[in-house]
Amino acid sequence: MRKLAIAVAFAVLVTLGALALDMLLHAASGTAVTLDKFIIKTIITFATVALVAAIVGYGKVPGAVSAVVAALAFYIHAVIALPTIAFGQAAAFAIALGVAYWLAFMRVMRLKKTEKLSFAVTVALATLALHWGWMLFIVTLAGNGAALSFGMAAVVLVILFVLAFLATLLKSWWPGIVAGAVLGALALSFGAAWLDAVVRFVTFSGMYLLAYVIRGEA
Amino acid sequence: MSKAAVWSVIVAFAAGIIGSILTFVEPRLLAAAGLDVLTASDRILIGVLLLIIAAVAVYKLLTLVWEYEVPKKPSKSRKR
Repeated sequence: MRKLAIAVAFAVLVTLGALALDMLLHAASGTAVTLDKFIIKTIITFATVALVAAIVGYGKVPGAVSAVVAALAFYIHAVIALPTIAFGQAAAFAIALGVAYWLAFMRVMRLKKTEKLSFAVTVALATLALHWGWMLFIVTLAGNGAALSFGMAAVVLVILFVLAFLATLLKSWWPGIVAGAVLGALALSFGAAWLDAVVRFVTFSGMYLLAYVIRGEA
Repeated sequence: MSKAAVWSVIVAFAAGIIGSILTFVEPRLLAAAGLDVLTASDRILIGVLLLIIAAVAVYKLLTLVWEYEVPKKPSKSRKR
């Protein structure tokens, strides 16, 4: 049961990290990120990474297999259901997934002594993807266009990274909760709604705790 | 053949066949066969998820075969 829980936590972090990198690529290249693609990529990537981690295990080869299978599955789905995707986008997603897997496995999960920089990058990427998904949801409900520009996403990523890195300096789980509360307070001070601030607090704290749970587990 | 290998083969075949039907077969053929459940988009997503399960089962089978053919070397014990 514990093995399955670790695999699920690992898959959540890898999936969201890959999605964040992929969405940054999309935003940098000026292609639109839509809510339906976000949801489908999340489902397909999470299923692939969680199944491979729970049934086969972790490592360089399982990571490469996860990246190829998830990207291929997304490409097959996109070609048949949403014929708007180029092969290059699927290949870029495979590379993004490989990078996220490498960060979460080689730099967070495998090391007994947590590597602070990689830990902070993993938490920041996963939180950014959740924030982006939340904003896509809001924007889609309102019927407007893009959720985040590349510049804005980069600024958010830097803020998340700094908060996560500062939290890792105190070697426990609670600094993650405090950093999440600081993020929520920052959002409120910049004029965000209460619900937005709560979402920021919950997503950041949740991702920090997940990364804290899987560190040194492999 | 170990129990895990047998299960991998069964899952790979079952998930692969059902996943391929749901993903690649034309919707009107599915409707003619009485399998016109859910929307086309949902069917394709379920089919792709089944194909992922099949791919992971094949990968598990390959790792089992690899372990069977290349057994781990026994650790060298130091004689004192």
